[in-house]
Amino acid sequence: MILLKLFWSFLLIGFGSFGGLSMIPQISNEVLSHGWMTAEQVTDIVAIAEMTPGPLGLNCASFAGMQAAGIPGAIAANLGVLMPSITLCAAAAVFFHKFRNSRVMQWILVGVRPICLGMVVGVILSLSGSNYWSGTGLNLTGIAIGAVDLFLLLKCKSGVPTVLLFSAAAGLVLYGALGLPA
Amino acid sequence: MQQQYVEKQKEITPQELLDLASVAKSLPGTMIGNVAMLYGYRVGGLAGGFAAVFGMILPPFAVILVISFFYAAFRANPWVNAAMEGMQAAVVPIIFGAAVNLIKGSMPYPPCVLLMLISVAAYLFTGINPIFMVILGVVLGLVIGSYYERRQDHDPS
Repeated sequence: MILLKLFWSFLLIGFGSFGGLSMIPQISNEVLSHGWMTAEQVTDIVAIAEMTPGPLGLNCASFAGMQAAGIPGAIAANLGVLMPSITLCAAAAVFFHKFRNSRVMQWILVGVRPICLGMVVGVILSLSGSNYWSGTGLNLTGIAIGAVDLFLLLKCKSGVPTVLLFSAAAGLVLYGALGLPA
Repeated sequence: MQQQYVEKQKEITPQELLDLASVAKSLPGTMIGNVAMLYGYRVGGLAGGFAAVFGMILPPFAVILVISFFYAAFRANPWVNAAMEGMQAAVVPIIFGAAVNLIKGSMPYPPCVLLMLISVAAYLFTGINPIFMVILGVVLGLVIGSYYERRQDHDPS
């Protein structure tokens, strides 16, 4: 039963998203509402997924599936999230040349792109709440690390792995060695 | 992908890979899964497509399997915890950076901006399932896209 639920949830995630970070709103909505992962685990898996090879959607499927129902759960979730690729995209492969210049697909994206962008902005705002607010007050250390990260990403054009490495090191020093509150 | 298949094996030209990628991006699902399907199909038909998809998921699947086995134990270690707390602070900036890249070309017509703002509010203040928002986007995209294209046809300036 849980396997079917995992499969179905990740099927919805797959069909409702267009790759990469646009999957985060769907993923966090499904795994939080079923209680498969906590908000903190969602943040962890995004960090882990960015560090490890492989696309975010599949890594989240594997991780949430494992947490909920072990290896069978991970397989069910992966199959779900891959369904669009092995159905819709297989059809598109067969009709590739008709499909490439399809105006209808272009029109659909006119509406879907802003919706996805808006939901990603929503995720940024709600994750900011859980990542930089410790329940009693602002997590100033986290905000400081985040500010440097943003600077590295936007001004220095650093890659995501560099930024994560820097943040892990900063976490070790500030939280681990100096014992600042999280 | 670019390195392995375009430069080393010369199986596909850069232009073809771009075409595959743009179709993969405009379909739902993970983009890499879609690229694997399109490329596999090109080389070996439907069976090739399925083989490429399953080959592509195995390595990340194995990595995450190992990580999630040790996740609970790792997370309890104070030093790992400190490093993870640090990385948590990076997640929002990383998503923000990606969102900045998404903005470009995502709102070609004025109503798209309104759609984006409605989507932010709906995500934050209503419990609506994101898939319904995407379906709404598909419907409104058809309306807005066809309307503006027709208008351009009538007014070539």
